[in-house]
Amino acid sequence: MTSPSADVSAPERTSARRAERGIALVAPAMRGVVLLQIVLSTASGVRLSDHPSAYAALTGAVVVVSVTLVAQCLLSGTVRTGVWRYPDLTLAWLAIPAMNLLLPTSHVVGTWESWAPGYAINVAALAATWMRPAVAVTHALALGGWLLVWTSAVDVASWETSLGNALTIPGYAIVVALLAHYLRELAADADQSREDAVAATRALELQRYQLTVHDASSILRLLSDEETPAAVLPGLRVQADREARRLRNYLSSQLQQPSDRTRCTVGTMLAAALEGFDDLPLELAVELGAHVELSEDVWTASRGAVAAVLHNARMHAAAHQVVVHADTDGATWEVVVSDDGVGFDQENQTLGFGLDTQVCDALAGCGVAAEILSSPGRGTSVTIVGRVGRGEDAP
Amino acid sequence: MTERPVPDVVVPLPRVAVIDDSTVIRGGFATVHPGLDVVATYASVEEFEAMPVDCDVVVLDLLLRGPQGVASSTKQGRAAIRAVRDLGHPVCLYTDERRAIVLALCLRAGANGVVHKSDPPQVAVQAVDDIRHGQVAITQSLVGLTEILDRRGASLDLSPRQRQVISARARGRHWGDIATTLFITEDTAREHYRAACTKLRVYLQHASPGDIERAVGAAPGDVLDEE
Repeated sequence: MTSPSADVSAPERTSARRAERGIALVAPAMRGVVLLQIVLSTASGVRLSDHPSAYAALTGAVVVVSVTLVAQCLLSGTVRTGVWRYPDLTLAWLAIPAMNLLLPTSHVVGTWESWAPGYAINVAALAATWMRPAVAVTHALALGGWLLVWTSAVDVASWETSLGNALTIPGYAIVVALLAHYLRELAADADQSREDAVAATRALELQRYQLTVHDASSILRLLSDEETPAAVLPGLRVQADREARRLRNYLSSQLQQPSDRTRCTVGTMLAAALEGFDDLPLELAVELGAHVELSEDVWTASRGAVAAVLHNARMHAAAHQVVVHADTDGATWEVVVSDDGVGFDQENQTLGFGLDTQVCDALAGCGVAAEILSSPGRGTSVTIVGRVGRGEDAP
Repeated sequence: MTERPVPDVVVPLPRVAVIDDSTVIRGGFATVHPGLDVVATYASVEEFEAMPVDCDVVVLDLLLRGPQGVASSTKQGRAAIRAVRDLGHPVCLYTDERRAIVLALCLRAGANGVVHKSDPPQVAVQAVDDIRHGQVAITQSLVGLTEILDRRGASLDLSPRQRQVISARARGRHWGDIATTLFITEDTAREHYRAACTKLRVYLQHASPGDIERAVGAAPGDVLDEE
């Protein structure tokens, strides 16, 4: 039998990785467009510049950093690492005053020879993908202010134009910061949902596993216990054989159902459930409800529930008498299994897996109600009630 | 003022004669049931008839084998019950027979109660004591039968409270839970139960075999054939 944990591979944060890779593809593309515009105007800029070597060197530095950015983003799949980040920021801050110093005043604003504003917008926007959003926006505001200061100084454009150009830097940074944040949150949610689904699947599989092996484990324990009375062994062997068949069905993913020839009634359900419990001091009073017909799923769940109660009685109750009673009032059917054993404190003791899952949960799953009543010294009584003719609605 | 000492009241143990073909049971019954005064043991009803003793209750095995181990060579079952009753002794069946219809026919034949050999000793002691005081002691099987007879219209004439108690006991409910549910004391619940048991025995002794057959759903002639 495969263990439940082996069935489901460990969850990976694949959505987060894909979101990061998406950002790492968009960032070089954005930079590529800007770089193309810078390179196209470089020759003209060199001709216009009073210090062509410095202008060419500054542009060359931007090209080197940008190529590094593109390469590292594509190779690593993330914008969050890479040596280009701080040189990129530094160049953006240096290029703005450099344009004032290297180009004629008439070309400082509104031309691609003066590429510093366009580059600054791009740098601030990309910084918003790898910095924390608040830091990135603050940085962009500062860079915008830096641009405003230097463009205002040359006095070739209106203050409205200078302000508009300056505001573009934080504006784009905010948009990109929002987009990156949203995309990452979305990916995190998707990963969390996947992890939750995997955890739920594991829990479900574990429960199915426990349901399958719970009774078998108690049978094996009793069979291996040298102190188990010889009189109990024949019944245990019958149950062990049935459990072996059930486990084989489990391995082939088949639920145990009544055979085709078995009528699904309370009587046949109880007969199947009681098989192998001859060692228990059973008192049967089932005539009043034995004829009630059950649906297959209710039959199967009830058989398992009654067997689980009897396993419990065998293992824990130390009972002198176990009463199995069936009845019907026409609208509902009822099966009561009561023992006069040691009982347990319901207020301070949680139900074990058998009573909680194999009885209450399994029956609730097919619309059958189960009530457990127990107290120390008064035994345990389990009452199972279902609707006649329909298994869907709990009474 | 000094209190006068209360003299100890010695309640005599119920005196029983045990009729059982098992040597082990005859030898060990007194040891296992110290609450009973076993005055004599017999391997057969015939022995008891030959040398009867004075006792409160006769504890009688339902299936008695003769000296050669042949059941048909000695009185047993309802014939044995009638023989002991004819000698004037109340009968407490001591058996592992659990078929309700068989036990019902034994009550009909005159048995005053039934105890299973697998019951704890105190159950047997309590049953013998009840029978000594004129009450009926029945097992879980017969509680179920009482409920079936009542539900199928047999004229047991149970009161609503008796019906509730029998219904709860048929489901194996503990006396304490029954008392809590019905807002009565455990003693009151037991009184209702005893009254219902007595009504069952009266019904069985006076109902026709046909009535019993119809009530328990046996085929016509089944009960009659066993007579």
